[in-house]
Amino acid sequence: MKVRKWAPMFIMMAPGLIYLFINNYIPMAGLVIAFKKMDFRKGIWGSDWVGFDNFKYLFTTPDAFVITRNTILYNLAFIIVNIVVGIIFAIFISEMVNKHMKQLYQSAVLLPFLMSMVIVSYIVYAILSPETGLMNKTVLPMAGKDPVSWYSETKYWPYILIIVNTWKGVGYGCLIYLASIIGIDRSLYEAADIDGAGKWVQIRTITLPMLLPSVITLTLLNVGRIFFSDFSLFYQVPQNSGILYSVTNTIDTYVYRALLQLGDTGMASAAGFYQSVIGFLLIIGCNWLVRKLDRDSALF
Amino acid sequence: MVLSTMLTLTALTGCGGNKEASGNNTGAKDTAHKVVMAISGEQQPGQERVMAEVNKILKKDLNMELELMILPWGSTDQQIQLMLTGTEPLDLFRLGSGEAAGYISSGKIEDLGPLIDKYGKNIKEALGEEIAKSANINGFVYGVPTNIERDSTPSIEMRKDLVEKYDIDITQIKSLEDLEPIFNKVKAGEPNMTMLFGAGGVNQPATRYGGFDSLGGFGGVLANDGLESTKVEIRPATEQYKASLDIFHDWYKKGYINKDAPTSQDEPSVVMKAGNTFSTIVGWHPAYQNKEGNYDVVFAPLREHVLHSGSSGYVTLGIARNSKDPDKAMQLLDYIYGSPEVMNLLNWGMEGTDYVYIDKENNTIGYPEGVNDSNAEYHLNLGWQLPNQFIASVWEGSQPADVWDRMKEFNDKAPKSKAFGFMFDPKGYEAEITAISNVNEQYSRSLESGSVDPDEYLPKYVEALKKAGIEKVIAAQQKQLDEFLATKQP
Repeated sequence: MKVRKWAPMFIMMAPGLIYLFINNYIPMAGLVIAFKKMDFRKGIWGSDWVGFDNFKYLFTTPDAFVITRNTILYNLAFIIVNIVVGIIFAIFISEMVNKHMKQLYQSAVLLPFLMSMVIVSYIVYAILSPETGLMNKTVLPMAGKDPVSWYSETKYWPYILIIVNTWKGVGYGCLIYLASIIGIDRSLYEAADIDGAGKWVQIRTITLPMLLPSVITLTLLNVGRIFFSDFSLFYQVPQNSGILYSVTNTIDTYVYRALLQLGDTGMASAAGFYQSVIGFLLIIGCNWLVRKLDRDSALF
Repeated sequence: MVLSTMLTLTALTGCGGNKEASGNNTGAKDTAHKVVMAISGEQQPGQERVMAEVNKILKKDLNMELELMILPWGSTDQQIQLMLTGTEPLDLFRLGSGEAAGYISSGKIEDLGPLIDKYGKNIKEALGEEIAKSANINGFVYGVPTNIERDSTPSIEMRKDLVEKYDIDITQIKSLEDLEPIFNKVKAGEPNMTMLFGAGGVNQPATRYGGFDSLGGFGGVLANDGLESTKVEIRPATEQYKASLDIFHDWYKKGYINKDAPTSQDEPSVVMKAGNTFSTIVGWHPAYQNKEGNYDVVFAPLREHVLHSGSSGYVTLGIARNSKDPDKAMQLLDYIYGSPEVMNLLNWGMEGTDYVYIDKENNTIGYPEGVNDSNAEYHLNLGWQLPNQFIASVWEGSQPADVWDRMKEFNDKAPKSKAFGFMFDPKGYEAEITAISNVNEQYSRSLESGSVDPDEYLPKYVEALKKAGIEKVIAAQQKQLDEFLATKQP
């Protein structure tokens, strides 16, 4: 009986499941490369096992702490800032009365999200370039301040990276929150109006609680990627400036620079494997936590 | 999924097409063996016609055929990697000392040593015994060097018009210090101009100025080009390094070097074109062009030309593990090393259609009537990637007619580093080398562009290298080098 009831669902799901299996599950067999000394003469299965040798370089380096710290803290900051700014933007846009302006802002906020990070890096360069940049040429002289050599001062970069990431990424989250806000039952606001609640009270007591499920879903998805960093953001935007490494080096950029010379498949796979395992554990952990607090909002 | 099916389909049809083609060409007689060679360059519309001509010669003399694959510059590395990981037919391809260690340890290429001994008659004649098998790591010969310059002379390249305008006697330039008064003079007249341009990872002033035998670039170096001592040292800990950095830092502070040097990605030719750059340091050799951007340039050497440990291994042709018959691939390669006809065809196309002799005696050639750069059907002009450009004709106007004689002299006369012919085998030190590459990436560009104070940053650099385990790598390099030197002694 149950089978008959769900059969159409499974048929509908089949293409997606098959795709997922071929595209995401079969390649997982390749994870064994992380534990092997790859020799193309012997093939993937014939290569020698080396245990955890390929992982060593990630932990024996003196930079291990810095790259792990940078990766996690930046990602945490990105998650928080993107939620806060995304929700603010979404609320502003949803409250807009002029329909055309509403569409304009919506598109304008999303536009940077569609841009390649390489282009973004040159926009940032146009602003921060030591000789011809907007900051050093126009803004700082107008404020009567000395020019700053942006690409060799570490103290500014945590802010610059967070601002750039927010500018580029906020549109995506904003769109999702906006969709949720539009989905909220209008009668709730009407009832609140009649009870004499102002805009601020409405936002606090209706909009924000109704947004919570989307916030949790987006956050959980991002937490799973917390050990992966946006390579281009940390490599292209600071123009690969060596002096800035202490604040811009993340696991991905470290692995890239480390294997420039050796090009070792096993070591590269080991880094990916490590990031995925940690991400997996984090997502399981967070989901468990969410389920304890609010069963309905959990992902699974 | 659709994409992958399409790719498989095209791959299948591609293979089918190739088989048919080779079947048709060879006719009913014995089948000619096909060798696939990959280089980088721009697609040539006349390739099919030229290759037919090449294959006529190869079939007659060797009963073989050559398929030339010209891969786009930007994606060559990825495409070669893919071909090496898969089972696509690939015999000969260009590789350098940088990738060699990785290719060897992952079993992607063949050891050419025995093959050169067996078939390399022309190769040994063209390159000399010593160079022929010099591109090796621990005896594993990864490639046959193409015939090009071996290392170069660190030189200052200056705009000719400004040199004349400010009446500079370039014969008086002997060292870095001699440049200071020149920059001073030109800067006074052209205050908005960059005196010395630096950029990227290889075009930084101190990087180009060189002066070290870097032993493959994995950690330690030999100071003073390896001419005197064979003691492997940490580069930033040497006096020599500091001395040159002090000068460049001073110039950076005086505004001679462009402010964005440590982060700029621009090519010198592009910046020169913009018209506000006076000079840059380059690696000069006799085939070096006398034009940068739109400007005529002149050169003055800043150091001696020395052959370093890996100087013959930068551009080589290797044989892929995929090769169905490495013996045949080597035979064909050796044939091209000794064949001016095939070299001319590969590099310049067909006589009459793609080029004509301008001066038969001096062996110089040029475009026929009505053909030029924009409508030429075949004008590869990539002699440095092909086996032996020294036996091919010289393009009139781009090089002096005797350029290859000069090049031979340039290569033969240069003193050799004591580690010449040595290549470090990094096996077993991967963890240290990955950490060292990160430290180098972090410090070298800032320091070698002159943008930071060596007094402050050099000690930090050395400290970071030591933490990354450079002493362990240097000990291994020293051990391998000492063993190499012992075998070299009679």
